[in-house]
Amino acid sequence: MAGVILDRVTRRFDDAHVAVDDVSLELRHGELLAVLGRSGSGKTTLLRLIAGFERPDAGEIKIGTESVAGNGRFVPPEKRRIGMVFQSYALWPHMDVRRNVGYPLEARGIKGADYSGRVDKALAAVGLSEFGARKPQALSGGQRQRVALARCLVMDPAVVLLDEPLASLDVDLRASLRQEFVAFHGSTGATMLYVTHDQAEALAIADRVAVLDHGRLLQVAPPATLYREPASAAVAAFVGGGAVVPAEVLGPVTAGQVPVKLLGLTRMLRAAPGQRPGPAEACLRSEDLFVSGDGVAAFVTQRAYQGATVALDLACAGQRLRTSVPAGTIADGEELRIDIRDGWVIPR
Amino acid sequence: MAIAGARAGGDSSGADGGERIVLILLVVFACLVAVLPVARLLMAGLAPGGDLDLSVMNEAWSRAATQRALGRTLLTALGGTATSLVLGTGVALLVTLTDVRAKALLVFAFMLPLMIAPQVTALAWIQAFGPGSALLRFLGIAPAPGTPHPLYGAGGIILLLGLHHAPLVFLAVRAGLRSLPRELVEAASAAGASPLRVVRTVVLPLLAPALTAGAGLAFVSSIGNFGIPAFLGIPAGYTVLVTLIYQRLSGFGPRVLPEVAAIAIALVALAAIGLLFQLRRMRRDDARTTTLSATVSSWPLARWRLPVEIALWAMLALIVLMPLLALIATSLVPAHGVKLTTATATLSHYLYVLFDHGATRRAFANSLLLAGTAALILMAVAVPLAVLADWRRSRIAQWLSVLAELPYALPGVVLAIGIILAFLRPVPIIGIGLYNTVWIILVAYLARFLTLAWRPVAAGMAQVDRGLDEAAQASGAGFVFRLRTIAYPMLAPAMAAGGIIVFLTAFNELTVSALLWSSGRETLGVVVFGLEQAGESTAAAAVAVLTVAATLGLMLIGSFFSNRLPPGVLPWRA
Repeated sequence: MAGVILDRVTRRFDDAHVAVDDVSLELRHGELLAVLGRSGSGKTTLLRLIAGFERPDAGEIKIGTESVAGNGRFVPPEKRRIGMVFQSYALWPHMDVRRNVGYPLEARGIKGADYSGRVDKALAAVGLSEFGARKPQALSGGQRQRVALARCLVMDPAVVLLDEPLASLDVDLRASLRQEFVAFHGSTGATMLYVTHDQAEALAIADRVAVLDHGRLLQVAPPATLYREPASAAVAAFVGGGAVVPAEVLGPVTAGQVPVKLLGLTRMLRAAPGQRPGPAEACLRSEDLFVSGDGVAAFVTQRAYQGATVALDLACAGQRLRTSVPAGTIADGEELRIDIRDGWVIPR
Repeated sequence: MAIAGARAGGDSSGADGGERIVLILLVVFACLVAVLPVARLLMAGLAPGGDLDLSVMNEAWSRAATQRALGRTLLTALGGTATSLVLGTGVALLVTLTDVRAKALLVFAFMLPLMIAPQVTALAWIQAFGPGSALLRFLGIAPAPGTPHPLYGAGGIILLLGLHHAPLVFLAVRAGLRSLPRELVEAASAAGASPLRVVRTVVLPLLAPALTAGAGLAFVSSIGNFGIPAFLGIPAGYTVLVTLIYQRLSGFGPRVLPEVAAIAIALVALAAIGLLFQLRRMRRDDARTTTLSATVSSWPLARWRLPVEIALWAMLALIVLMPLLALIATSLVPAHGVKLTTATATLSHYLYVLFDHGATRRAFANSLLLAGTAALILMAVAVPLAVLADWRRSRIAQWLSVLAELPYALPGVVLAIGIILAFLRPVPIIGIGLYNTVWIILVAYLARFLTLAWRPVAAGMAQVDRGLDEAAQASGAGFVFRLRTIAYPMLAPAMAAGGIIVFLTAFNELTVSALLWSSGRETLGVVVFGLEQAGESTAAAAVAVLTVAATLGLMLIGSFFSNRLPPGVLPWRA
């Protein structure tokens, strides 16, 4: 059973700016999918399209088996069985916590024992049973976030949409609430779409990550795949800050490995099956490089002390690379030799 | 930003049935009370037969009386605007840029003339400075009996128009000062310029748009003012366009409607000029851009502080307190011209107007009914209008909120004539006639004051996260349910502020009701005017004092709740 399906969805704004450009994406039932992108990448528009706050200019959106937008059909947000968590929490200050949580039931005319039973259950699920009579203003940032989650849960929605839910919290709180989301997702099995600009957050919590840039979907993959096998130079550079350097594939792929000439060295890198010999690009992560007398000459352009390690920005054969070395292992010199231990040939 | 980009995209989420019905009702409402009257007026003057036909215009404007009235309108309005500009700018600079004390009280006192009806102000000044002034006689410095009143004629009209509209300039200039980047002023100070030089070379040039806007507003209000030229001009035979229209319409009845419509079109044109000046400022300066609390730092006046404060308070005593005291004094003497002493003071006029005089008792009831009903209806209308225009990004509702400014910006007589033309005959389909009933005044109030109710709500809305409405929508709530559970409760304070302002303005209103009232359906403004014209100054003063007391009371109630309101919605709050 499908959670949400976007089929070639496009959303343009007045000034011919294409916020979401021909995006096809499937959010599987019970999955936590993170949509990762810089600000202005169209990720919030994508979420608002699913919620129904934006209407697609082209394409179709399905929630479950029901078509909610496209082909002349448009189901408004209040009829979509979605739950939504806003960056600002969007809790109503004139209602207490119980009424905030029970609002989706109230809107559907659910009253009496059914109402209070479901509100109690939702409040218990987020550990706020004691706080029902409080006003949202009297809660901490993390507690407000949990009220917003409980409000989603109370209706048992088809999909929960989270719009940068941690962006307005301070760093300490973020890490612990991130874990709460994972636990929450595990215990409820809810289908969740999680929009964020923070790649560490996306990689840490998501089952799969969709990378969006300038309205286009660059890659959808589990976090490890996204990091180790980026589908394009843009993803390689954006996720994990990999260096992308020109390379020459010298032979066929065997057991996932291929001989590649790059930075004047010939080394075995990972590649997708079917990678043809010829000019290509390779993604080199910080940990793919190491200092070695057999390597190629590189100049240190910047160094940043990070405690156990020192991060180095290198200029090597006209390319910019990054790596890190244990603190104190190399002298203050400006020149060293580096070698390549691993890498990924970006498919084309 | 992703969010900003998404929101710029306009209305895309589908409107449910309830939302459509509410929008249609608002469109019908606005067309009926705002568009129809103005359209009828333009038609009556420019195209009485349906096609463009300037014969009515020619006839009306070939009269010497009309031309003379136009000249006098221009003279008094320009003179009044100049007076407002000097006074309003001066007080705004002092209150905003210096460390004078008791700013809240100063602003409250300076705003009072704006909240008190112009006809009451005129009456108070007539009492304060005329030969029969109870106050001046009490002080022994009254002009000799029989001499003409010094305020009758052009000079007095200019002075009072200037005082009455100075608060408008004050508000515009203060808003301009508050949005002035504080660095620009501090940079000039750091460059070594003295405060006076900073004001002259940096502050005033940067305030040019605000000054233009304030002047435009004062001009439009001056050409449309009825109370002041009615009280100070009519007795001296000094007629401006507004009083000319009133005299012809009350003298000859509906048959001169085409002619007065033709005269009123000149007022529309003059108002349009004034409004264009206002538009030179950034479009639609509502409270969103003008209520920044962080202001340019204030300069210490040091040893000049006390003299400046004394001068400010002396001026306020002269232009606000003294006329009000004169009004009270007149209301307490047994007969006009009698000296006020502890022995002569009497409350008989209050008892008379409250219990014996039928028209006044009716007027109290009518004005309370009209102002209260208008305030309630407009409060209820303003919220969905603001929700649709702002949260729901409805283009139609955005247009309606601009359109709602029209009946308020145009001179009141223009609207009144338009309403008579539109509702002289029974409304088609429902077949109910409004002319000669109290309800025609209500229609005029609904048209004229919609924007007063809307502005505080729009300002309040800017402080509420649109996500609160979207969260309710995502929770499954339809439009009408969201209005009831989210918008109305959250905007209640701003809505109440709008209601108070509408009530105050309608309660003190004369211009519109002077043309629309009929026997037995008087308003308080009409009664004060009638009593004064009939020579019953003491009774007129008693009614005026009662309305001022009611106004002050409501202003204080509004102030009491002001910490729950968006800043800037109550004009009399510092």
